[in-house]
Amino acid sequence: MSFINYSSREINCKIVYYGPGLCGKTTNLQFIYNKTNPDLKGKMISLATETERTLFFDFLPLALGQIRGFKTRFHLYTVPGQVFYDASRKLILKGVDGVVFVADSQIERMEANIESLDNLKLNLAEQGYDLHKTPCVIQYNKRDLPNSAPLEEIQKVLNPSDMPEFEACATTGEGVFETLKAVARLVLRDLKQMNR
Amino acid sequence: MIAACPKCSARYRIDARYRIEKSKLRPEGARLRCSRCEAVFRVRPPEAEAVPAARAPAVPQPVPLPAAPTHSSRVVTPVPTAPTSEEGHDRSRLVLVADPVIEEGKATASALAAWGLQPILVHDGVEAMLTIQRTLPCAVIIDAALPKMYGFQVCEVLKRNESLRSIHVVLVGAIHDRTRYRRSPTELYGADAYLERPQLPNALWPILREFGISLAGAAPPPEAPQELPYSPASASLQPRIESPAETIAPPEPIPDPPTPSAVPVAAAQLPLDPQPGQPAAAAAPVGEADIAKAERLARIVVSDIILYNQEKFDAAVSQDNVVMAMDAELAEGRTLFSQRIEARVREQRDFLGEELLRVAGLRRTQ
Repeated sequence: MSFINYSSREINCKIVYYGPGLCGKTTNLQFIYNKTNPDLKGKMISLATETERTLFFDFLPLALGQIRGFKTRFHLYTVPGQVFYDASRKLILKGVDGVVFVADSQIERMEANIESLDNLKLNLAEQGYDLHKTPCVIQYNKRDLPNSAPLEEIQKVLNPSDMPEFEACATTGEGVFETLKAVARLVLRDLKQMNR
Repeated sequence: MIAACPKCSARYRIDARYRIEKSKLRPEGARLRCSRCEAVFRVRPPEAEAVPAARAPAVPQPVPLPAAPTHSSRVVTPVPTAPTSEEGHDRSRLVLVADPVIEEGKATASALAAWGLQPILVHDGVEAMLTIQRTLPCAVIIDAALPKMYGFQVCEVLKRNESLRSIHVVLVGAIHDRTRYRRSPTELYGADAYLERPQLPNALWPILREFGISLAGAAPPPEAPQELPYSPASASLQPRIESPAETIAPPEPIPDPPTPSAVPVAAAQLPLDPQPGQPAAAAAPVGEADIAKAERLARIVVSDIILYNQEKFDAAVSQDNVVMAMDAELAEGRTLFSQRIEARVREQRDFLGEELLRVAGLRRTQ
């Protein structure tokens, strides 16, 4: 749920990058962090393990312009993707305004994608959200790998309801900002509709 | 003297910026406004806190506030037997509990009260920071994911601030299997000890004793299969050992930290084993769909295990001891498996072990 601070004239929105383990959620955030004007971003907090895997979440506050005199500040989070860490995912998903589902395009991770998407639906439902009514975009990451599944096949499995979708290669940054812009646009549109 | 803003962590050299000489700071400190985030906070001279017993602060009252009304976020558990100083309160008995979940915070606070301590309960990071500065407790039990200001940020500020560094900090996380990701508390933002939510409150007893805080009453019984809490001392005594004897039996499933919203609805995540009073499900035959579901979950779990342990897995494949080498990871997988797959299906065969061997076989042929 967006938090509007009238005294500081700020709109704070929470965007969560969700997806199976090692699909590239943290890489997305790192790319955004590295390419963003230092004046617009906060400190990136990362609780990573010795092997640099996300332990709890990554967190990146980002200022993205103004709407009717209100500054918009997006708080980007990732979740631990491993199937074991559902409790952390539930916690991080609380109060979410928008979701980026990062799918791993490799054929051998297709079942993990499905599991993670099901888990996302379930965890959103626990908070009273419906995935299809929540601002959400899908990013098909790792499109550059030789073992990536055909796009049509992934779309059929993961995106039957035609959510906005993007092909990406987060290590090079391809598709990363397009994804962020799309989800930010959806979040702000949602916010506008709520305020009417 | 350098002071850090509790909200944005901006650091200020007090004498230079505010023209207050350290020696002229009164024991109760001075109120400053952060020029970056405009938060108001209090700065105290370090020596005022370094010897609290000798020099009790004149103005600030390190006092657990009287029982708060229900709409307030601060709840104080009264402790009739707590020892008192000349002002009526003893800083060495004050323990701050910062927990976003009200009920769980209350449970921890009442356990502390039963041990003769004076708990102060707060529910967000900013309030925790302000309360710590005002009351100077001897220890802080702080959740990592507090609203407004994260617990680890609070911890970082405390440990960076000379005048607050002596306060013991127990950081509470919500991670299930800490053994996979164990890091030293100094890395964890300087916390003195680290606990997981399911271990509260009983695991606090040895930690507080280790901090040198005397506790009333008897030690609570250890919760059977859980590990010892992580603290510097226990870490040195308890290296990470992966002997077969320890790792063959899968650990007991540690439940997800209960959240108010999760309790009534999370039926799909709950263990599917029949309850004692529900015999009907046990009699149901195992269908192909059940087997397919179990096989699918086994593939996902094994895929995750291998992905996160590639070098270990490859070494185990080359040495032909995959099951033994990956036993700790398999145990974690089995815990999840037992939560998601009914016992009558699990009993059919070892889904996880078979899947691991299948993938190992494939890797070998590659």
